[in-house]
Amino acid sequence: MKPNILFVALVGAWMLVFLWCALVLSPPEVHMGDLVRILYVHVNSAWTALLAFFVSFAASVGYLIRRRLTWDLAAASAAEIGLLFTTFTLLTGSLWGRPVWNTWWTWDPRLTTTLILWFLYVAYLLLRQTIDGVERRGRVAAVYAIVAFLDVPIIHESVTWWRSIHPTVIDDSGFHMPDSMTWPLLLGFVAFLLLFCLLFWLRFQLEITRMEAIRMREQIRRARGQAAHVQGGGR
Amino acid sequence: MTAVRVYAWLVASDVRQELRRARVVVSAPVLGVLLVLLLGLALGAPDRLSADWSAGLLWMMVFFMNAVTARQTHTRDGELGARDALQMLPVDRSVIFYARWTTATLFLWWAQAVTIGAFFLFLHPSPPGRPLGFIAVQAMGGACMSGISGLLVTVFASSVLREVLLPLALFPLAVPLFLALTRLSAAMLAGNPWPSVWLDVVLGYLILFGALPWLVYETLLEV
Amino acid sequence: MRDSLIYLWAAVGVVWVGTLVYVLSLIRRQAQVRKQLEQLRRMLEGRS
Repeated sequence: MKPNILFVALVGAWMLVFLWCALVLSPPEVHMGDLVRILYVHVNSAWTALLAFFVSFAASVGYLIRRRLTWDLAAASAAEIGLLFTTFTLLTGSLWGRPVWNTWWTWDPRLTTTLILWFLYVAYLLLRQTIDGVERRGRVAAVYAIVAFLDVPIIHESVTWWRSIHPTVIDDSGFHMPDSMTWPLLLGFVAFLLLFCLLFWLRFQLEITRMEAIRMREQIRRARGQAAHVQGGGR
Repeated sequence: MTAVRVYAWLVASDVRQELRRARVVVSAPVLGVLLVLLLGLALGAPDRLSADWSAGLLWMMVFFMNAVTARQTHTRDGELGARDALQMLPVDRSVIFYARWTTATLFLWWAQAVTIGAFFLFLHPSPPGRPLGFIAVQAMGGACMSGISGLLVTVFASSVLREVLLPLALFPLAVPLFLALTRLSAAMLAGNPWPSVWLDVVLGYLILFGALPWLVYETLLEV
Repeated sequence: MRDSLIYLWAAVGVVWVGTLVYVLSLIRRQAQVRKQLEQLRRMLEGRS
C-alpha cells in the first residue's frame, strides 16, 4: 500500500487545525458551555455519513447502468465508511444527550432516523458478504442500496411528524449560530470530507486487491481444470 | 398469453396450491393467535387496552407474522422446481411479482382477520369507533407489508443469511409505514377523523412498492 | 462543568480512536490480501 503521502499529510494538518479551532479557539456556548464542542464532531460525522451513503447510492445506480465492477466496489466502500460515521454520529449524539437532555437515548426524529439508517446499512453489508458470485452480488446489492437510500427521506419525514425535540442549527434559512461557531463547523466539514476521501481511497484499494486475488484464483482453477482435462484425454 | 391472463392464472394456481398444502393459511394465523396469547401473559391479563396500545401491539404482531411467513411462496417454488418454469413465461417478469404480491396479500388478510379476532377476544380493547375505517386500514397495511416483504424476499433470495436479513431490513425500511398504520388504526379505534398525513404515507408506500418491482424485478432475476 | 468535559473528551475520543482503529483494520486487511496475492502469483508462476 503506497498512500499518497502528501494527501495524508494534508488531511492530518487540516484535522489538527480543525481540532484546535473546535476545542480551543471557538467560544463555549451560554447554556451548554464546552459541551457545544461535541457538535463539531457530531454534525460533521452525520454529514459525512450522509455523503457516503449518497456516494454508495450514486455508485449503485452507476453499476446498474454500466455494469462495471468498479462502480459496485465503490458503492461497497462508501457504504462501509458511511456505517462507520453513522456509528460515530449515534455515539457522539448519545454522549451529548446525556448531560444536556439527561438521557442516553430519546425518540427524536433525527436520532431515530440515524439508528434506522444504521440498521439498513448493516443489512446491506451483511447482504454483500453472503451472496456468491461477483455479478449477482453487485446487482442485488445495488438494488437494495437504491431502495434503502430512497427510503431515508420518507423515514425522516415520518419520524418528524411523529415527534421532534432535536435542536435545528441549520435549515433552509441558513445557520442559526454565531460566526465564531460557524467557522469551526465548516472547517470541520472540510476536514471530515478529506478524511472520507482518504478512507474511501484506502477501502477502494482493498477491494481492488481482493478482486485481483479472486481473478488470480479463478485463473489457477481454470489452469488446473485444463491440466486435468489434458491428463484425462491422454489416458 | 397476455399479461393479465398470466397474472390471473398465477394467482389462481398459487391459491389452489396453498389451499391444498395449507402451510401459510394455517401457520400465519396460528402464529398470530400465539402472539396474542403471549402478549396477554406479558401484560398480566389486561382488563382493557387503550386505542394507542391496541394499535401498536396489533401491528407489531402483523409485522412478525408477515416477516416469518413471507418466504413461504418462494420456498415452495424452490421445492416444486417452479422457479425456472416461471422465468420462461412469455410476459414481463414483473407480472410474476404482482401475482405473488396479490396472493401474499390475500393470505395475510386472512391471518390478520383471525389474529384481530383473537386480539379482541383475549385482550379486550375498546371496539373500533369507526369499524369500516379500521378494516380499510388493516387491508391497506396488509397489502403494503406483503409488497415490501415480497420485494425483499427476491432481493435476499441468493443470500445464505436470508432468514435473518429479511426481518433486519424489513423493519427499518417499513418504519414510516409502521408509524402510519399505528396512528391510523389508533384514530379509527378511538373514532377520530382520518389523520391525512399518515394516509398519505400509506398511499405513498403503495405507489412506491407498486412501481419499484416493475422497474427492478427483472434485474433481480437475471442469472 | 468539569463533569461535562468528560462527555466532550469521550465524544472526541470515540471519533478519533474509531477512525484510527478502522484505518489500522484496513491496513491489516490489505496486508493479508497482498500476502494471499503473492502466494497465488507464485503458484501461477510455478505452473507456467
